[in-house]
Amino acid sequence: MPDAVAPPTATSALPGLAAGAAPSIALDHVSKWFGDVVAVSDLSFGVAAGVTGLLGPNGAGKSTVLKMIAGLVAPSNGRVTLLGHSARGNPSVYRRVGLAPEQEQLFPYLSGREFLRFNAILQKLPRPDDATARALALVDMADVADRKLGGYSKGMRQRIKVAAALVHDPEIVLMDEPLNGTDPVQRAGLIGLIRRLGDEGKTVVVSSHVLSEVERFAGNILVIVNGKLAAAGDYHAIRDRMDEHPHTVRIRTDDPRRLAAALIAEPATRSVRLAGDGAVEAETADVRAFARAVPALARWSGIRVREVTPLDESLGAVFAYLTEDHRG
Amino acid sequence: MASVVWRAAPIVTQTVRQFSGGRTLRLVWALSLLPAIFAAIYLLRPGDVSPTEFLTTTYQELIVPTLLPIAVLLLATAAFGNELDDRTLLYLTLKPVSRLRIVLGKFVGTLLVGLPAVLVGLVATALVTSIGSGLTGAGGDWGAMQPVLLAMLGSAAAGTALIAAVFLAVSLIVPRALLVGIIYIFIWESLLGRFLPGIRNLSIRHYMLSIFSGLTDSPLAAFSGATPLREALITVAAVCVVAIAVATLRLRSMQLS
Amino acid sequence: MTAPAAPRYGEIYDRGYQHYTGPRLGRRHAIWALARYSMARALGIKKPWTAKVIPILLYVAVLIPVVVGIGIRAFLSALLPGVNPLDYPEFFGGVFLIEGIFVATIAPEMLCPDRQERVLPLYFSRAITRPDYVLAKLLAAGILTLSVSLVPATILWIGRQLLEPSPLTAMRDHLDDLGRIAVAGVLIAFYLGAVGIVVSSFTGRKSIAVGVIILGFLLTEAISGALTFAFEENERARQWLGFLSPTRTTAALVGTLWKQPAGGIDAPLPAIVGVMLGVIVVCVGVIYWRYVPDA
Repeated sequence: MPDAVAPPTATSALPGLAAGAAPSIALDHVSKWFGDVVAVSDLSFGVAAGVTGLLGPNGAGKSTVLKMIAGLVAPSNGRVTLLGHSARGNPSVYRRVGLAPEQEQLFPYLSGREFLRFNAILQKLPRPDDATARALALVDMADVADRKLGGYSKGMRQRIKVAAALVHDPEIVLMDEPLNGTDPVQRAGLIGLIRRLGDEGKTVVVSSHVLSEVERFAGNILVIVNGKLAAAGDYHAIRDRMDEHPHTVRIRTDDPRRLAAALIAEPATRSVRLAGDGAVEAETADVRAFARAVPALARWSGIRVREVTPLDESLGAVFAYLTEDHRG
Repeated sequence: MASVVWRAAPIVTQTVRQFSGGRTLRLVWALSLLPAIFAAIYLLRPGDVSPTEFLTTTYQELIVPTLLPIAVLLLATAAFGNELDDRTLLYLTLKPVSRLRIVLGKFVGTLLVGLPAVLVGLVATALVTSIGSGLTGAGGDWGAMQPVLLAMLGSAAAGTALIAAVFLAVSLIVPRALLVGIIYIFIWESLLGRFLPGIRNLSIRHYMLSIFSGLTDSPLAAFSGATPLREALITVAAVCVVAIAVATLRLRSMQLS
Repeated sequence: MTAPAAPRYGEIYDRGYQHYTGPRLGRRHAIWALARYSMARALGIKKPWTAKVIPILLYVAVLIPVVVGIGIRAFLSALLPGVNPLDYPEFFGGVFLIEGIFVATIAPEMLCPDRQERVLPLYFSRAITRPDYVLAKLLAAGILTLSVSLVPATILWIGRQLLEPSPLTAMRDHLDDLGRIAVAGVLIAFYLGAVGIVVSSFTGRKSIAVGVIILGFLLTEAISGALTFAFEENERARQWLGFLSPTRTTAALVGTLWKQPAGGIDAPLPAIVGVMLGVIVVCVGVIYWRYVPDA
């Protein structure tokens, strides 16, 4: 567990939760494995009202976490609570929760409007037609509402799934990669919607593997790597702590002594040590600057560099990955 | 009008819509109407078999053992099966609706789609046999046929409910439930049932034929070892209840990943 | 630090993609890899036990007659020398139903998910071309079906020869039976496999494909039977109508091979083989047309 990203205050019991905040969602030492594969490992965090970004590379366990929160999947270990209850075996909780799942498949034989009405009726809303119209307006889809879902484009599917998750005006909204496959206009619309939901005091959890998107709607983030919590809290606070957190890089070369001497002169280098076996281990606070400096330095000094490997890939590498713009 | 139906029974309506105009339903109708084609072929050479006899034999040897079970199986295993394949089941389960209601909705929806096909297929077969025979001068036999046909409709409806309930549950437990069902029908009911008489009492076919013979006085329907009507109906109802309970429990504990 | 004068800035990050420098194995390996993967998927290899149950049950169902046949022969031949339990035609007739269900199990599993999950374009944009894909799937279906037709029959043959007083001599004397088994086993496997693959190539839903295959067997069987009955006086028509039914066609093939006419078709061997090959060719043509639209 990275110590650099402890919760903002030490008084709160769960990571990710400001002091005194009441969690709408709480995970308490939750693990989940599928056969031999561990998807989520000893995860604890709390989520309060407002928008929280669930970040992590593909395959980090984000979807499994959301499915456990929604009660679709039971944790192998630990406890997940939603508004104080476990969702599994307690369907009445779903009156207050909406999930926009990851998969694209919908009922191809229903129109968008019929699909939302179906959701509204199953939510036992007194006026399903009004709720449907309201949800359609939220995602700006009234004009295509009477087309069959089978003919919807990817961006339309994403938006109708979000509308279905919001049709009953739930207190907790879970969205799994809602921006995937949307065009810039649709994305801007969805981001605006997510921010409004947060401002209204709902608890909104949105998963994504693109940090630049999450930055636009979520101040609070949870970073998950390999099924473990890598960071939790305010995005900027985490960034600051990251910079203080040094990274170690191992470089194999023909001439370790000369390379070490040259590296020390680099501003990005914090410390250098000879690791034996033709290798140098250097500590840096700025991986990117360092990564740019090494090849230039090697060319300039004529030292052959055989291999460069980061030794602590976890959070630093993930952040480097997340801050670059990957779109699924 | 449509919206009233949706509100009264959303999952039933959704299930009916799921099948409407789809290929599964076309297959089901093809299976149900197949005997009517045989009836037409029978007319080419009526021979010494009376129309009622022909109809009864077709029902006992073709419809009950294979056509009807496969037709109902196609629907029952797809009702939940397609939603599991497409991972759309969560749109039903993530709702404040009891799991029993979801299972019952799928069950009733399957029956609403399946029963018309099964029953219309039987009536069509009877009509072709009778009217055709009348036209070819062999005598329509309609009067004698009617009570037999009614008994067929009753037992076919019971069998449809039984198969639908059992295989709704099976489809929530194993993947490829349709193949499991087909293997059950061909190997357990047909092959093993022929060699091991004990198994016969444990087959869907036995109870359908027992109800058939219990509902009519016709000697054509009677067979030795038939379970009395009341017992057969109670058994069918009990199995349906157990299957629906199993499906409900399974839906509760299932993981949708 | 970048100087402010620098007008444009562009940078490509090395994401760590490695160029593949090893040997390239060529199309044959690609086809074989896809065929092997398809077979593993159809049998539920590397899947939970629930996906393996049906193939295992069907293999057991096919092997039971073989084991029982050899066993009875081992114990009874001494007591009842004249009795010849489970002859080859009987074997092929007995397991035909299981082979049909087997094809309905494997063929949809091989083709339908690719269509349903929309991964076909992914295949075709890689080293696998459309004809390669078709070939790999046909190969996979044919080979798997061989494992329920040719393989058990061959085991039966070996078992029978091993029970003879001098197995090697018996094997030499009964080589003709082995040849017939090879012809029947291979023809039946590819005949059924091709039909299964054709049906599965038309839908993304496995359940629809399974339903159509089973319905197809029932329908052809019943219609062929009913029409034969209706055209009882017309000898020629009856012959050809028999070929509508896969059961009768294969029964006729096996019967003619072992000179025990069966299936109500009394045609010479080349005619029967020709019909079956014709069905295979038509099926391959249809599949080719399904996947190679420009052909």
